[in-house]
Amino acid sequence: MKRSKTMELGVGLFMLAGILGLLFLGLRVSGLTFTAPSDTFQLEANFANIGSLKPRARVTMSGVTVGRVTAIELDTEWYDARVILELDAELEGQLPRDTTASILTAGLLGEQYIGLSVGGDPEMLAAGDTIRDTQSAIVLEELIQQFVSNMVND
Amino acid sequence: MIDSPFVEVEDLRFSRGEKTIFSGVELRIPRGRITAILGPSGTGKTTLLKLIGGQLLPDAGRVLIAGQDVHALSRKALFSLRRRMGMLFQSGALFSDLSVFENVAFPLRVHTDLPQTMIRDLVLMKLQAVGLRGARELMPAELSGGMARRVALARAIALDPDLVLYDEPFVGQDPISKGVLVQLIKKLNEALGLTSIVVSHDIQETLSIADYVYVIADGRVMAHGTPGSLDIDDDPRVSQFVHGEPDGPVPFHYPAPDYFRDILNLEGRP
Amino acid sequence: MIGRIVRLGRSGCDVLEALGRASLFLAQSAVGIPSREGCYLWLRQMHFVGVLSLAIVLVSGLFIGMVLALQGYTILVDFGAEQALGQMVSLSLLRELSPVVAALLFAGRAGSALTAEIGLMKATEQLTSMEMIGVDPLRRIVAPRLWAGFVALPMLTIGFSVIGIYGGYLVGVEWLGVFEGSYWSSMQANVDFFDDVGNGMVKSLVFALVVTWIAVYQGYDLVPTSEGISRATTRTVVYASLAVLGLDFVLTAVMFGGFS
Repeated sequence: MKRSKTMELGVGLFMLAGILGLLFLGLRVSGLTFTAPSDTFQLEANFANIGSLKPRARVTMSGVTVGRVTAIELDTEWYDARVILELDAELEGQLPRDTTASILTAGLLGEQYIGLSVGGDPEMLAAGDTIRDTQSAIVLEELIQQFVSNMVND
Repeated sequence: MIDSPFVEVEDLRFSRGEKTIFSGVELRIPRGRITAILGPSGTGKTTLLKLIGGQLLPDAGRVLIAGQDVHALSRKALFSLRRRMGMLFQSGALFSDLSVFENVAFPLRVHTDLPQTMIRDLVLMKLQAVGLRGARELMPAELSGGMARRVALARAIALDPDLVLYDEPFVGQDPISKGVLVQLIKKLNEALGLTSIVVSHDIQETLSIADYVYVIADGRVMAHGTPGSLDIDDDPRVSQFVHGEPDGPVPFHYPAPDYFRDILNLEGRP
Repeated sequence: MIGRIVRLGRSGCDVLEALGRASLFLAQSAVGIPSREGCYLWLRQMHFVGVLSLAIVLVSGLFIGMVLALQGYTILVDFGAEQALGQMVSLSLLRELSPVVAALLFAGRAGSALTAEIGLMKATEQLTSMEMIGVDPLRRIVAPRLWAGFVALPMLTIGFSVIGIYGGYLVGVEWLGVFEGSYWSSMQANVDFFDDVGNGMVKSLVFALVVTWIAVYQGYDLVPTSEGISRATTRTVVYASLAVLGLDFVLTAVMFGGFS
């Protein structure tokens, strides 16, 4: 049977475009990176209330993204939330022991993320350590409640 | 006259919905001859061919081809039996996306592992037989109706079948193509030793080549015999059909109330 | 009263019977032995249903991405969140609009053409003559079309997403002045490859199967007259569109509805 070269070429280009498109969606759109796990290290942080923090939320330092949240689970010993952070490897051994982790909100209604701010402790955090100094999420309803009850008391 | 029959149809019954098409058809098709099945339009002649080819299941009865019960075969055995059958369809039924050459080559390609050059030789031989070797590059849409039917005939005999079924081969053809097809069917039958079944309502053309004739009407075989003996048959339906009389037992008028009363609208119908 | 119940039961039986026939049809045609010949037939159908549908799908994708960006911008800017435009455009496209709109366009462009083509083959006795030659038309005619549709629609969906995101970029960044970096970074931070791109692809595969199945079945099962073909073509578009939208709800509920 005769094969039409232009048709084969057309289908080939079509399939190639599909595969390239998928690569584009993977790399450019969903930020999928093929970095080895050794390029990051993990820290833990316990929060009394994480608000609406979600896995894959950003972890920033002075506004620069330095990692992301990989998991959130309930710590049944203390009944608070344990958040696992994955940070860039270059920060390993660079963060002082009294680093503060706080849950911040991007804009008034934006999503929540974790901001790290360094302290002055000479000892540094190693992989797997827990950040002691944490600041929980600000829950808007609680703030309003406090505000209203203060008004009533006054 | 009749040596061992190649195709036997025994007490075939078939109905489509409420409508009974066949109520006990008996046929014995002799080997190596041309058998014609005649009948008015709408008597289910094409349906009969489909039943013989195993494309439809009868309600009762059997169809034996070379001793094999067509409807009791497995799908695989049926398909391999069909390789020994060729069928010429009313419309030609050429594959519209393949050229004339590829259409004739199609059965060879799917059923044999012949090398390319041999397929070419065989296809050209078949096309030469139907006189269309020069048209092999054309697409089916570029052919006239008669040419399409001749190509379809070449395709039907591509695998050198034992049995060829012709479904209304002469319908809608001008006298020249009719003559050509009549000659072709006769010549091919003699040259290849085929058993042919021709279903038709073109009496003159069919009778001129048939060795044996069955007339079917009302879901039954009304008459059968050699072309010479058929005219004598005293069944009024058969004689009306064979002589082509416009009115008779097969009425000219579709059933309707009395003409006079209907015109005056005495029954208050629209 | 009893007559109505009987009629209800009869139509129920009819629906079940049709479903059964269609399933049997799918099962018989999907199992084709891959061969050189089959590969070639598949390639031809890929050209027919895939490459020839590319233009309409890409143009629609570009416009839908542009409209999404325009609409999204006017809402997001009220919250001062126009930086999240990239996230909005990409998630809407990947999760929902690309699979659904591409499938609807595919049903209209390729599905109706498949129905009409197979229907015409049936009306001109090509399918019957193929059977008489001893070749199963399910394998030869239906299977390559089914598989081509199954591969082509996900490819078209990917193209739709990519060009839609680019359309959103054109309107959002080039025209409305959203910062380019935040268009891409809000996308990258919030789109997950497996959850969003992957689930969109799963949707698209399901739609591809259903749309192509409906199209070839309607073609194979139609009444072989001119009227039958035109009716079946209409039915293909209507049934396929309804099936896509209905299944989309079910799949969305399973994937993103938090049931898992």
